[in-house]
Amino acid sequence: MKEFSEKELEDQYKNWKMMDVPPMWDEIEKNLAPKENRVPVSVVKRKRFPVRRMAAAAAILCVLLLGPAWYQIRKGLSVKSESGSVDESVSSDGSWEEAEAGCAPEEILDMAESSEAGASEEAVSEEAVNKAEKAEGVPAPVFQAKIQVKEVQVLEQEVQVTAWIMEPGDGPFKEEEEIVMLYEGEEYQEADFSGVLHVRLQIEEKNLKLLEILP
Amino acid sequence: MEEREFEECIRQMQAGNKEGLKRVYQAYAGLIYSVIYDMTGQKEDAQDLASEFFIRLWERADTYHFGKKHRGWMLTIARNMTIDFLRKRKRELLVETMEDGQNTEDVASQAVGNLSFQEAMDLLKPGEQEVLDMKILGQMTFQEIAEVLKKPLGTVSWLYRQGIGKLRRHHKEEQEVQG
Repeated sequence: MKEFSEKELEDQYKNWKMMDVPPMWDEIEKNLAPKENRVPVSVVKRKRFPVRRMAAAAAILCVLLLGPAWYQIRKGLSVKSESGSVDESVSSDGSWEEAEAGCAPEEILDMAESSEAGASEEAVSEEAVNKAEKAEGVPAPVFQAKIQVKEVQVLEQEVQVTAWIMEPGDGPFKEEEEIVMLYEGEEYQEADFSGVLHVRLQIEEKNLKLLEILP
Repeated sequence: MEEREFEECIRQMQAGNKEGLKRVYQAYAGLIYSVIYDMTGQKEDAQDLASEFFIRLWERADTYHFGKKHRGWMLTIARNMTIDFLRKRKRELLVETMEDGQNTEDVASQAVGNLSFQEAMDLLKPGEQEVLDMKILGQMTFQEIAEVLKKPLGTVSWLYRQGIGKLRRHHKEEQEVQG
């Protein structure tokens, strides 16, 4: 029986391992950026408005403005309606069950809806108050600067951008100082970080945030 | 690849010549892929990370400090990239399993037509495979491997001996079955 030498075993191991290596060069070569312009170029899509926040704010505004008016209209209509018993039971200081007792099924549904609307209105109001309270505090400093991006690292929910300050603008940094920022924009995957960028930054607690890439 | 040859490749890369990277790829694709695969246990992940490694090497050629030991430098980058990847994917559990010496599903399912390879790999713990890869595919010294893995020289040498011993036993058993 043949006893394998260490060299033979090493050669065997090498052959095995090399057989298992997939060809990768074509894929690598395709993704090599030219040396003159190494920062990946992507479709420019500036983040100007946070769409979700705008939609949420519009929804809150609608509820606040239209909710009471709608409720008043409903109340007025029901007063004018022929079924006086319903109005009495609703307007009296009796319980929900008392009111429900005198209602047609459609009307009960309407009342339930208006009750839910009231509840959400309360929740919205509380949120609005919280926002207002927060806004009354000392605002985090926001400033503009020109930067040259050195490295972009995509994390779970955000992008960590390392850059040099080219023009410090009204910020506290020095020229050529290296900074690390977090970019939480929703379209971060499509954001263009190439070249010198004019940006809006904010120092929030211990983090430096990249709020917006300006045109 | 000798240090001087590698430095020549780096200079080519710095000048924007892809030939330099191709030479490095031809010399080290097997080593880099194997080391990453030892850590991830997934072929697809290893392939993606190894490709990404060479792209990063091209991008970072300007920052290479001449006079360094290039194999250690490259393997440190490759290992850090893989650790970063595993952390991001929250695969600590997988790493623990691998460190316990259990081979992954992927290892078991690979090389259908090459049972001998699969059986031999099943015998080796990931730590042993890593050392064998660096020693055999990377032509590194035990000292260099110990520096990259941040393990004592004696441990590295022991892992190598263990791995070679297991391969030898595997061959012996295979011969007995055939004979």
